Amino acid sequence: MTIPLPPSAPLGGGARSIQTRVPTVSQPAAPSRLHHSTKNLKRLIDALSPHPAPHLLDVGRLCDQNITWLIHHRCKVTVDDQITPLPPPPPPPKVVPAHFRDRLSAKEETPVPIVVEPDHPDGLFDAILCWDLLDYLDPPGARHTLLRLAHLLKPRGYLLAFFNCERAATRPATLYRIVSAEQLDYEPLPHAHPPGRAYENREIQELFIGFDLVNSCYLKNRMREILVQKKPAPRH
Amino acid sequence: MTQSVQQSALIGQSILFKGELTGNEDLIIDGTVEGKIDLKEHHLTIGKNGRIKADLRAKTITIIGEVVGQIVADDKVELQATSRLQGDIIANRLSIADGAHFKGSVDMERKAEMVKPAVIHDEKLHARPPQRAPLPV
Repeated sequence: MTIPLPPSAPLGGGARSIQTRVPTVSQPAAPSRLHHSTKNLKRLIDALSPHPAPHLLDVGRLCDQNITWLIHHRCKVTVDDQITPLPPPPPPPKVVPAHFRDRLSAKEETPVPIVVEPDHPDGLFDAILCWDLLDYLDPPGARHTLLRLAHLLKPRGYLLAFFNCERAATRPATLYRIVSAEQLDYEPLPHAHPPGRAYENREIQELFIGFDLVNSCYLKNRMREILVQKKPAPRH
Repeated sequence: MTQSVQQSALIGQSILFKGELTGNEDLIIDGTVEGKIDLKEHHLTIGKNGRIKADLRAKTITIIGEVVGQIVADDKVELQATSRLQGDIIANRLSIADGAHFKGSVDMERKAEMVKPAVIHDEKLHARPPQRAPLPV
């Protein structure tokens, strides 16, 4: 943004004093702990209602409020925080001049993707709450992680994932607290490293190739909520 | 003469206990225990230096150290910031502080089972004859 400079007052001898104001770059305000609406959490709970005691895996940040809320909605909850132990995202790759590229091996150029593989028996869970775990992973790591999570689901099990689609400002690490089936409390975590990825819609669609889409909604706060269902086993 | 302050038993940091531990008072464990701990109607605290590989049962359980095992509390389980728990929790109430590490499942379905024995006990109390009223002066 360009701030117009005020007209400078003429000094003796015709010299002009240039008064400059340092343009203030508006920092994105750290999001306060505010209520935000959620559309797919209620859809997930409603979808699980036919189950007498659905078993739900929460791979997001540990939150006793969420555990208590889910249990009061007849869920049995297994928690396995996969976000907190993740390393900070790698720095962006340096631009390598063309005449140096052939000196670098392919191994140096392509970092090993971070993969999350929760250790639980296959086919145990009726649903998995991913929250924004996938925003911490690159596409290859996210695809591998979703493949592993699909194995943990029962046939036609559900998976709920959040994506931050706001590229302009960096959203801090966030703890999502369930207030009700229609509301979440976004609590910023200034001491935790933020997610390093903002997926585009096309990339999100490619991640969930192995799932059937139940609902995808783009919220006013620029978060995308994806609710998917594990594809049925192919009939032979 | 009643005790105004209930003192807790203490297992110190240098103590290693293997086996089944039961008692009728509050207990603080700052050592190493392997096996089973059962303190019905009392409070169990796993201290900062506590290293437990056991199933725990108490009225309320506070974890500050490390526990691997199943946790059953008639009332509340509290995980403080330095706690590390790997195991399942069965309790009516749960509190997890920021910084706590927990991996396992949480269930409150045994609430009905926990209440049943207490209801039977109350019925036996009500069956006792009422105390006599004081005689008028």
